[in-house]
Amino acid sequence: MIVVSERWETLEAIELPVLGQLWLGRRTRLAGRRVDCFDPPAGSPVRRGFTQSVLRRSERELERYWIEQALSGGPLPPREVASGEEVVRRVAARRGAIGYLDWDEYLALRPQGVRVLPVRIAGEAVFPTGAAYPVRWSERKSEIAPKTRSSSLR
Amino acid sequence: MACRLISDWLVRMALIAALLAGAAARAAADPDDPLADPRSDAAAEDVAEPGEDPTAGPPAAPPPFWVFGRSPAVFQHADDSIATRVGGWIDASYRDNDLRRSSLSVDHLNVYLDSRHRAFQLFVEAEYENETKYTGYDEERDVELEQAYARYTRSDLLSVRMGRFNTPFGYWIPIHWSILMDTIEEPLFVGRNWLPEQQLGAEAAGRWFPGELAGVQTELDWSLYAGGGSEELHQDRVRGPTFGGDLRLRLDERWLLGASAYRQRNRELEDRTEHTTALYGEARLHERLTLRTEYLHQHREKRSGSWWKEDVDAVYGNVRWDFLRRAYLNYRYSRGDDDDEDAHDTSEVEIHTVTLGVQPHASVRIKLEWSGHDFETGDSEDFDFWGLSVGYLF
Repeated sequence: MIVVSERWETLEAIELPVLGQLWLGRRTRLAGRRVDCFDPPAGSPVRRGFTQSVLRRSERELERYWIEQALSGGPLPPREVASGEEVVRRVAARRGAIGYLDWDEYLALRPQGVRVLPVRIAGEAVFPTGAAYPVRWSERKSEIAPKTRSSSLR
Repeated sequence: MACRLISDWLVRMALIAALLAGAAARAAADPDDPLADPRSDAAAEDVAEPGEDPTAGPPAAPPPFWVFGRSPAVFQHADDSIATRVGGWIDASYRDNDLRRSSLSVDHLNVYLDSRHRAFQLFVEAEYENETKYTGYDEERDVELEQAYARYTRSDLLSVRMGRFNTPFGYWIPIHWSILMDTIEEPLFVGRNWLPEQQLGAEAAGRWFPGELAGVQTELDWSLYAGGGSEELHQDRVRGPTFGGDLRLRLDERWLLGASAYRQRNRELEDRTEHTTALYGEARLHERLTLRTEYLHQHREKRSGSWWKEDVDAVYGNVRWDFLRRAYLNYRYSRGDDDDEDAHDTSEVEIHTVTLGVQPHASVRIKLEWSGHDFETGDSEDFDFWGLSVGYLF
């Protein structure tokens, strides 16, 4: 899984907890810019992986969270789109947009207009090309294996 | 009287508008309608073909609105600057109580409308409520405008809202909807209305992200509010100004610690002044295991000849175990001072509540519950409670 943003040069990297706060609607701004988040389809492996490893919740917990937000006038959930390709298109077209998609899908698309957002761990920006990138899972088992070892892989 | 008529009329209009909007949302979400399929809104927009640079040219104007979600229905502008959400829920229960007749009733029908334009938000929630009276809890049967407020959000750090809104006090009161509760029975201080569920006034609130403290991601939510009472607007007990505040610290998405304070004058109970404070917390030890606790203390102005205790307390501890993806077991231990306003008596009560919750579908909630009430002091009789509740979110 990788996180992409629009061509947002001032945003060097992002911490996983901040990503979680953005996706849960509790934080709406980052580096002085309003952020819009895009989700791949519900039920997709990449979405399940993100929910567990970044949001640190089960799908049931997340479902309950958004119902609670709806009833209390809280934030709207991230915009759900049809595919990783669609995530890239939407993110590229909007200022302050962030999304995530499967790494292999990203490589196959080789999209322009977006940049891969490194994840910051212990002060270092970590790129998804290396083993230390923290958001990984086994596609076959849909298991999450977050890694916390810090290193720069640029 | 005029205010009451106006408020009742507003409630009816809000109910009708919300039901009509819900029906419109369903019509728009017809499977034959291409806009109802979230995959088709991509096709409706002018986007680059695969391999093309999506930012190469200016996009054509997207359709102004489309449905992108159901339950609740969400109408949202292409650039997300305008969004309207319509939804609601209904629940019914069978309750059997040792001391009173058993009852089968539709308890709540709730509809809400949430509309936003950039930083501005308008939220309206109306509810039909039919709660049977049984020992420990008060009867309510009414159509009420639960919430109606306008909010302006300047930043994450500061938002302001005005109108009628859920009292930001403790864990339970701001999110007291029975459809979301782990149990059928409310905690004692909610059932006994230690505080009003809503405020009629203004609130300043916000959220601050201090970052990592000792390796733990922190988030601090704050709220300060002031309001007033109005008999016409179902703010029955409150006279004069009310003040309150709430501070909650979230640690690493797993721990929540909060403190609240509130002051009001209680018009119905000899105009006494009440000061209530709360400490509360939640720990998500595992995605299947959640612990929660809330402690309240209330100090009431004592008059000569008054029957109530000057200081009362209530506490509960709750364990929820999600043993299956859509089923959970919940146990709550409560203890506290229970005022019986009819008998002019305050008893100390201990309550054990066990609940089995099942969600056969994301929109359906079924709860089966037993609770035992043991009164340690005072004149109240011990009793057991059985209940079965079914709720549906739309």
